Amino acid sequence: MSTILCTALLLATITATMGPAQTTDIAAVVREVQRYDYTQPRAPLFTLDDYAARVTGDVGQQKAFAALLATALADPQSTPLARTLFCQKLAVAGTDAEVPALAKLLDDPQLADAARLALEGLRSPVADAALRASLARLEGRALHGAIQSLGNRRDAEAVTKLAGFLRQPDHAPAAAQALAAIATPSAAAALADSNDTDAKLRCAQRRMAAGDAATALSLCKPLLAPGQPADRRVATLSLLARADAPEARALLLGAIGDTDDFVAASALRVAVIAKEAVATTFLTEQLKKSAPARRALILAALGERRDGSAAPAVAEEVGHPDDQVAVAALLALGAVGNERNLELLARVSATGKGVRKAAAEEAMANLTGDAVDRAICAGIASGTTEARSAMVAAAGLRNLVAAVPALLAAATGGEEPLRVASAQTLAKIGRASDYESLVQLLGAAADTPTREALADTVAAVGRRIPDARQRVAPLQAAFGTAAAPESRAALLRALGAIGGPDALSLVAPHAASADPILADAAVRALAAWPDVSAAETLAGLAAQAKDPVHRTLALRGVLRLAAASGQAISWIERIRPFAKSADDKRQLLAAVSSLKSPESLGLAMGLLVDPEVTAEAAVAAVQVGKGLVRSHAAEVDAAMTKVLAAAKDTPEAADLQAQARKALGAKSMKSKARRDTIAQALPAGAQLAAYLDCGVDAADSGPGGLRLWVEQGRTFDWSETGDEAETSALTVAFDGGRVRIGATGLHPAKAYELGFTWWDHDNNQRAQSVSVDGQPLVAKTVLPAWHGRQQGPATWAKPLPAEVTRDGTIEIVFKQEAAGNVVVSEVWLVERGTAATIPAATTKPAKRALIVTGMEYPGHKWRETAPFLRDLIAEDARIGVEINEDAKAALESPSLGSNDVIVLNYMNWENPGPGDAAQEGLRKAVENGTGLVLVHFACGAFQTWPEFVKIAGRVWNPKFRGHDPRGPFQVNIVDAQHAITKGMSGFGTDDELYTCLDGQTPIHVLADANSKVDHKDYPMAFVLQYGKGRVFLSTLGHDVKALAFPEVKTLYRRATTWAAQLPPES
Amino acid sequence: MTASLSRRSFLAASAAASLPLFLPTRVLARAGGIAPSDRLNVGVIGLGSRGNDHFRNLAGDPSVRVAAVCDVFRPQADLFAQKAGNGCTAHQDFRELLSKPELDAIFIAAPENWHAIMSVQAMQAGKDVYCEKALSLTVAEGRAVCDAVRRYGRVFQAGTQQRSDGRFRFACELARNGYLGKLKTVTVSVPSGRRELHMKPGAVPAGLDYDLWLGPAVHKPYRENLCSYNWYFLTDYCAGWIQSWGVHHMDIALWGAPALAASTLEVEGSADFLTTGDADVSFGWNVRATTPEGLVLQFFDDASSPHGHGVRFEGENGFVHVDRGRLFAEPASLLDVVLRPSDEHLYRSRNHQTNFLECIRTRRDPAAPVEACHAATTATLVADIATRTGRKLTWDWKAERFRRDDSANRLLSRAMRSPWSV
Repeated sequence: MSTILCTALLLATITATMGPAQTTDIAAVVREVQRYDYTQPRAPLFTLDDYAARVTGDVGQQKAFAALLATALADPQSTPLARTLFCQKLAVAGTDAEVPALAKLLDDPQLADAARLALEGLRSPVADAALRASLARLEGRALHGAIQSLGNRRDAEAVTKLAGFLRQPDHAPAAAQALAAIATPSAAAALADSNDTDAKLRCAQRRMAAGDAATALSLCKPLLAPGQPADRRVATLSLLARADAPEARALLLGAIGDTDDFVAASALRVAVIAKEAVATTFLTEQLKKSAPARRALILAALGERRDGSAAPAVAEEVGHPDDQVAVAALLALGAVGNERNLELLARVSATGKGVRKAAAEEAMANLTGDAVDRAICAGIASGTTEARSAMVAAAGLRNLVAAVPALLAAATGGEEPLRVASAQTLAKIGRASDYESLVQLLGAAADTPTREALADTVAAVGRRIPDARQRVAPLQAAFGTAAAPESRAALLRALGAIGGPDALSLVAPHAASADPILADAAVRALAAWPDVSAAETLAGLAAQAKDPVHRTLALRGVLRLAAASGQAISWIERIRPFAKSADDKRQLLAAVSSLKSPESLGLAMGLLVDPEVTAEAAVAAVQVGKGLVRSHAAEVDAAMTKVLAAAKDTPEAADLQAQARKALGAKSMKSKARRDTIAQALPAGAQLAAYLDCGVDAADSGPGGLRLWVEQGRTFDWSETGDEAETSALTVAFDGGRVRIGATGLHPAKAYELGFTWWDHDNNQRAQSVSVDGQPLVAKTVLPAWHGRQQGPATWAKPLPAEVTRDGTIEIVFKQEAAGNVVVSEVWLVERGTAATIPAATTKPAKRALIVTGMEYPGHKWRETAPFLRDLIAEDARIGVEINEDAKAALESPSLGSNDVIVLNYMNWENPGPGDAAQEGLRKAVENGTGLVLVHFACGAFQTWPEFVKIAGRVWNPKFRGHDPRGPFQVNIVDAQHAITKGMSGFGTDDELYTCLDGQTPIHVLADANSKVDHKDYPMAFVLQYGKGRVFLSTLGHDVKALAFPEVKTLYRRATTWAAQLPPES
Repeated sequence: MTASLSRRSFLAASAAASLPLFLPTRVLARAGGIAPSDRLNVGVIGLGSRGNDHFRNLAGDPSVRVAAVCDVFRPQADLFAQKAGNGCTAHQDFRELLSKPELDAIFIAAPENWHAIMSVQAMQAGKDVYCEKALSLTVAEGRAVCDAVRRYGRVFQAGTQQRSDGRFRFACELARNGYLGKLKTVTVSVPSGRRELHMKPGAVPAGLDYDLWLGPAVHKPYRENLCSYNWYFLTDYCAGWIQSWGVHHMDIALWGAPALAASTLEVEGSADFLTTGDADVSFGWNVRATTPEGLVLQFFDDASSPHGHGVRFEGENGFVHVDRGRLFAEPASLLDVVLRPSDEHLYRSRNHQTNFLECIRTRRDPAAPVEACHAATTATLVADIATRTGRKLTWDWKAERFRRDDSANRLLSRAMRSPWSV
């Protein structure tokens, strides 16, 4: 309660300022609304709506208000729309005093319906009388409206007049409906002679609700006659279900035997909900008389009634020769049966087939009552093996934890099928606390099927124990005490299914055991290992195991685990020599063919010469080659030549080779021409060292072992989307964030120049920057666009600083600065004889910023905003930025304080929070001088941590109204002298305007904005000091779109450098 | 209310019997006689975005033939009839569509002010009905739809499709079977939609029957873009997303905590409205309702909610929070609960539309029965009325009226423009 009051007060919403208790000049508001025709501001309408809804709490004010409305309604100055609005308000707040004025409008062609809306809304006998009186003078649609309103008002005094209209064909339908709604006995009498069956049904329903079943029956019984339409008969049955009268019940139950299937089915639906026990008796009697289809429907109805007295009759039908009937009976028995039916159900589940078996199992799962559970526990303990097994299954279906002791006993005693069934059920319902008992059972099990089943059970239950060590320790102990090799083998199997490094260290040594049973179990456990930790051991076995079967098992285990490891190729290359049999090699090729890399192509080619698997290797090579044809055309071309030589009848290889050659031909022609053009344009003493036509070439080599390659970037060809000029700039390397180009083999004594072309061919508003080894080379630049602007690609040449080329290796990064992705058309390196003395573009960043993110309210896409923040901050080269997505780890880290500023793009007070240590880590770092920048919802990051408001200044309070609807608004600069906002002036943005920040900590506001909702100013950005730390908080930046406003970017960049104690940017 | 709710839970409890016994289509009540095949013939009324969804799903279902489509914007109806092919007819006036005897069922996706009229008239014409939520524009209309379903014995599925999503069902089963301990608070939070409407007066587009679009609503001159989406935020046609979205999660709240709709609720709350733009529905609200036993229902727009979007049931032993993408609980072990046979199992449906089509053939009540949607719609409207009157109100579920506040009761119904009625 206090929350609401508090909210209401603090919100200072319009509603709180405009209520009737206030001194709203409502007369002035009404005058304004009188002129309204959609083109004026809607504010007065809002006030009118609000006033009308609230004024009814005060009779005196209500009367005055209603009188005002009536006057304005009569005023010819009011627009037609305004008059309609006044009627709508009178429907809410009018009084009897306005009835005459409204009644006058009932035949007004424009306002009749609106006036009636007001009169009906009044809910007053005076208004009803006026409506009755109007019947004499109204006609057409207006008359029907008045008739309808009298019906809605349930006006008993109108019955005589309305009955009179029943004889006039134009008005009879409206009058009949109104009489049906009024539904007094006299209205029902008036309708008795009508042929309006719908009105009769409506009236009957209302009489029935009033407890007058006799009148209801007399109205609708004729509609049940066999000649009536089925929908009328069904409607009548539906009504009868609500009648508490023997005659109604008899009619209803009689219809269950109706010859019309639809009528009978509907009657059955109605019987399902009939309260009387006699319905059950009647249904069971009908059962015996009915043909199979109808019999099944009746059984389903009995099941839905859940009346246990039907159980014996239902049970008799379980053996019915017709599947449909038997299934319906079984399912119904699940609903109405009890523990006495268990044996029957168990028998059907054990011996029945298909749908009958499934239905019996479902029925056993559905039976209710503790007695059923007790009977199942007892049934597991004794009886025939078949019956006991069925009870074991029932315990599983019912998730019957109470049966665990009986199941544990049955898993050791009894016959083998019972033991296995018990183990399987225990796997399903066993709890962590049963684990040790199960391990002991496994150690003691005497036959292979039980051992195998129990090993699986142990693994399944073990997975419910969160701590890995507690899963392994009991198995280790049991292994130590078990004597029989078979028992120890079974324990190894369980360990294998559990997996993990602890289990691995126990199992692995036994692969070399002298005991063949143990060795075999260990190898098989390793081969089926659930995680990659066993790959190393398996690779060793693939090479060295004595038993060839074990080598094969190990090899396949590696292949299986490799696929999930992320390093598939290196694993496959490692075990390649040990694939000895044809089958092993085929397995290896199958794994290879799913990997698209030059290495996997090489692996496939290596096996091409092996006569045992030539055909399979050819298929794999083609498969891999398809993914490489654009990036490695030359390699694919060469490979296909060999494939065609080795496996002649491989049309796919020929196709692929043609594709490769086409790409290669086009590339070599184009590339050669471009190389020549570039080389010719170079001054004397300079030479083209390496060239990449991005999108075509993946790598190039130059003099002295120099290499240039695309490290990151996918390929795309714009010429496929509509060509206008054959140019190398049409093929590109692209990426969502960065295209990275690597180069090695640069001569330390020589000077290099980076050349490149780029093009915003499809006019996607691209802007990009370039850096080399982290040093800015080209600042954010807008690319030329072809579409729309018909600009050609831009060509760049930038000398590289000696300090980056000196170590022989560079990384060139093209970074996205706007639009969806980054593109590069060509890249080349020009080499000069001697190193030029080029000053370093910048020095290493002086300060470090850490963006902490990784958890947010789902509407805040931190994976988009965090990189965006990083890049906008890094525009100031004095600061290096890193992102940490593990906030808990970042904030707990002892090195948190070594950052100069923390940018908190994070919210996690409830999920659960990162914990006290993390909060204290943050607090300490800031106190000791690390700056803090809080982004948007970070003001709500730790809502329940009391210290947070002292650090952040203001904190999101969920009890307040959160924010204005997302949309455009104006931000005002409050202090244009502060280092962060210096020289800035107000700007427009499109964001969430936060209105719920709470706290008393002293802050210095830099920017604010005015809410569209309550017209109050709210801080948008402010600073404060916590200990030695500088803190900046802005509520701007809901998403990338909001962050991308230039002023918002400036705010966050300057705030971060300021918080890092850097001087203002020049 | 109590009676219908207990009836529902009774039906639901038996829903595990999962092999439905189908009636062949030919025995359904068709005045027109026997169908050429065993496919159900359906009609779709309202071909905006939601109607389009239904149309697409139905068109992909081999057990169904879309035999008629209707939209007040004539070109839209023609377009969809052409898409459907196979003899599908196009109609601008839904009454013409309802007069086709071969139709078994109707899907209604018109604005809220139409739901009650179209539903009642369809059932009166012997059709089964799938109607989009909310059930109705006012409480009185919703009651009329409930009466019609039971009067005509028709199958009626409300478009609160979360009932066919296992996550929501499971959360409700946890709450109903005591796994959370005694229930204390249920919190419902939903989006509040788009409010910044700026609609210019304009000419009615060619092909649109504007008078028929308005139907029962009071006549006001046309404005641009009124008939697509913007109507959600104008009280003449819809109470806003407090009702239209609210009903989804409110339905889950009442499903999991039937005590909320068992006797009375003390309701009070506040809401925010915009004075600019044309929307006159609330865009932020904070409503609190309490049962006589002290169970609390909190109702928020997402931005005002302490827990964010979704439904949260909180009991003495923990909470479960559910929405369309998430199900989480405290303690998390609640999610491992497996219901016992003696627990109350709620109605099982995996697909809302398929469930409706099955029920047409079995004559069972579908997963979202009319009384449930009526209760949920009513709860949202009661909340809206409480914020508008600014008074503490007592809602009586049995009488379906506020106690001791006849002025608030005036907001429960609206006279319809002649000749429309329910």
